Amino acid sequence: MSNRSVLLPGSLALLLLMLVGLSVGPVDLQFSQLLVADSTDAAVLWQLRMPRVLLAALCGALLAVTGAATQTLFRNPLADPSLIGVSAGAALATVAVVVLGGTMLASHSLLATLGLPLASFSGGVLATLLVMRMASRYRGISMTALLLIGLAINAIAGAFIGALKYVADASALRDASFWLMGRFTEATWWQVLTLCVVLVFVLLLLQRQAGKLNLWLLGAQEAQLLGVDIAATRWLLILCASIGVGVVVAFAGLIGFVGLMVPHLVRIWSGPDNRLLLPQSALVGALLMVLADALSRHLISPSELPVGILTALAGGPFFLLLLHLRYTEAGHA
Amino acid sequence: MLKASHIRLEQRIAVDEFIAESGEIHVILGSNGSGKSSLLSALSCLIKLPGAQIEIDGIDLQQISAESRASRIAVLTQRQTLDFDFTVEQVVRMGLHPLQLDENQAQHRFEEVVTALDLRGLLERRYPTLSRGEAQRTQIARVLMQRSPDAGVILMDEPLTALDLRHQNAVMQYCQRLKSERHAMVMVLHDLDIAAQFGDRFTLLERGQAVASGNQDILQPELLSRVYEINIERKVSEDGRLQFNALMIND
Repeated sequence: MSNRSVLLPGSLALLLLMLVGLSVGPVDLQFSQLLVADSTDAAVLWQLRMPRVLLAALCGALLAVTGAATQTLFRNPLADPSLIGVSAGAALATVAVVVLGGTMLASHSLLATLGLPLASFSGGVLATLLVMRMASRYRGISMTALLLIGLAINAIAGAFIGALKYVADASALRDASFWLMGRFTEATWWQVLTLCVVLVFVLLLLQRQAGKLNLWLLGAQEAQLLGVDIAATRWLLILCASIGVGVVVAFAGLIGFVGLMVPHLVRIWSGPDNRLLLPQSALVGALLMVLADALSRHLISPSELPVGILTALAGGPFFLLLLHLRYTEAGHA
Repeated sequence: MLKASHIRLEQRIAVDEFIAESGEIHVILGSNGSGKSSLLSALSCLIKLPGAQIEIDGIDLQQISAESRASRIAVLTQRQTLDFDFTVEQVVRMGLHPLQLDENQAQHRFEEVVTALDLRGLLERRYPTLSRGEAQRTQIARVLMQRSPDAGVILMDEPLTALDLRHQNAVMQYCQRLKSERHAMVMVLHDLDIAAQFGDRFTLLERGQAVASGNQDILQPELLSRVYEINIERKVSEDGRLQFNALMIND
């Protein structure tokens, strides 16, 4: 297995792409105007595009890392927070807070910045625990059960979200609908800061345990017999995955399949070792999301596509391809 | 030395005392569902049993952390699934995790295990692409990498499953060599001839109870026939080996 790392070339590519991302949009920025205080161009750059591009990069990184963590948690390379219902749980909690507590949140911006991610995180934890409990078998976790439970949770959360939208007023409805499709339009520096802290926290915690996470993949019993505290490891993974999904869903809505695609691509390149997988997934996730965001603004400019639609367009077929490969490969059934 | 007492778990197992001496291979025999795997799970502390006492050289295994337990006792469980594309070499080296070996010792042990289990040509292969026998040898290698640097304990549940005859022999020969490191080895086996040839001590389980324990004198045809519920004959070959023959019925 190769130890090739994409960290250095990837970081350079990410910087370049972010510059591209900053230049895309309805207003053509003049370089000479950017450093002039109070110019419109500077305001567009620093208050709209910069937080937006950073938000996209951070969300992509977190989604990729939480995808890798979810796959480790369930010992299944096809597990993705959006497929198994974790994102839906987080989304339901967030919609409930927005629709039922809308006026209270509107008057307190700090409450909105912290309250929504907390609600979203709690929804994510509950959904993860439910899936864990229901999919666990005597030996390991059943793949079929995992996807079926995800299907059910997605349907239930979808029904409740539908009901909440039905009772919501027009502006809340429009907000919720766009948010559910996944979008970076409301980016603020507060969100960038929160995501930054969460990403560093989650990545450091997981990276420190990366060797043990490899042993965890051998099976719960095997990991325990190799000296891994499996209860602590399970909670670490559940918390990291739910926090990551929670803040991303709260700030950017439902963006599917990034957590599935990115770790898969990285594994093809450098193998399943978590020590290499986690940081590289973060980087590739950021790259992919900045690219998707730039495309979503460019394709039907001056209007824009919700970015979640783009990731689903790429991710759906990718998932079908993976399923096809898995079920046609000898020995996998 | 591994010493266990008062192992009781509902209807599955009731063993009052089990001792595996250092430098010996202790074979557990019995029919399907007789409690062999439950006994091994209890000895490896995978299931916690109130009232049971499990000690290695006086240290109570149930009282120490999983990490410190893993440096004293290496366990092969019956079935493993690994859906991620680790190479055989990566899986085998995972066994080193609980130990504090320096690089030289680790490399030396790796070479020895890989040669003994004939894994040299498989090291770069991705685990999910292995045949069952190849996967089993990889897992055995991982467990033997984990053996304590001092006299420790090695437990193996049906290590010879899915192995061809040559590799069954390779595994047993290597275990035989490891006796000189003074490990207490406990294994569940189904082949009575192999058990008699390599085992030093035997425990026969029947419905969760140890009905006999001792050297190969306990392997009497009447007792074996009763435990396995099929007629078993015992012969001594010209070179003095015990051989068993189950009378299969074909009608």
